[in-house]
Amino acid sequence: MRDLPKEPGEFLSALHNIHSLELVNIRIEHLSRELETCFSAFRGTLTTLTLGLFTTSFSAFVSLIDYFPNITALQLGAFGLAPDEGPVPSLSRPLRGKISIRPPLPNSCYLIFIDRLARLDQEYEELVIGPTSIPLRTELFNRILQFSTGTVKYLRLLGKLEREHSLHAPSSLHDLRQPSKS
Amino acid sequence: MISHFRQLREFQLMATWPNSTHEVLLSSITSTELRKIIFPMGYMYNSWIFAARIREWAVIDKQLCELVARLGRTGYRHTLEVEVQFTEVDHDPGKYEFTEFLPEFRERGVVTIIDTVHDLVLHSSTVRVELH
Repeated sequence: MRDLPKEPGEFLSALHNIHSLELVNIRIEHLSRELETCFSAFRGTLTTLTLGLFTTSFSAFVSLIDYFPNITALQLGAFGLAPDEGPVPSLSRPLRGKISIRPPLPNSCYLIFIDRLARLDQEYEELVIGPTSIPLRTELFNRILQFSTGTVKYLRLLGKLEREHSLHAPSSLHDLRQPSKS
Repeated sequence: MISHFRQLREFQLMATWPNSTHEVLLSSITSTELRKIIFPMGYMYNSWIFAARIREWAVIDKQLCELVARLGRTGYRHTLEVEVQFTEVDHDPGKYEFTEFLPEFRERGVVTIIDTVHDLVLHSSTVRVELH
């Protein structure tokens, strides 16, 4: 086995034919340069991209997911949002396939990220929330349910569904049938 | 909540036990493309534990009947299948027959219970299903 260069970018550039890439606990700041350095070897073969404990600006995030033309599965875990350093680029094609979101502990940064992600050009067929042991909170849950509403065929909610009044739900069907006595 | 998913074919929602959120979600389905609703269950020692609380599914049974009726009024032409998946069952799933599960809905659709741990079909209200 030949020795691989030690620099992470050069290490990645030696890996051809990769179909699945998982980036965990990573911060990307100058993505345009790193895209070519790190990911060009498998730009055309990558179909699954997983990001967890990942910090970047939204513009860099869009550049990253748009860099790979054949992604059919995008999996997102905890995500830190850094300020944009420039304008958010336009996607060269709609986001398609399957998106899986594993919500982290509630934080306003993640809500902003989800809102911005929802506004991208999306044509996902499958939307997965979870799996997660954290109860699916209404605020985040409702925002994610705005994704690709015209194209989603498979919807999977793989977390405990909170029994919350803010769902505008009666606590049971019984409540629907019983008029208020007050 | 999910009324705007007009192309929805398959809806999977985790159910330790049914609660009001399940009712709200089911009551908001509008897709006439819907084929299947899947309930993955949490840990269960065996199917008798499920059977002991089967009455808690009565509101879901009613919701499913209303769903089929409501979709039928807007051109629904499919047979809806409801699949319960025991994803964390213990070594013996038990021999419960499940014929009392969703008694009203099974007159209008298909009810399937599978043990995904042991690749077993525990119950099907119509034909036996082959697992991959």
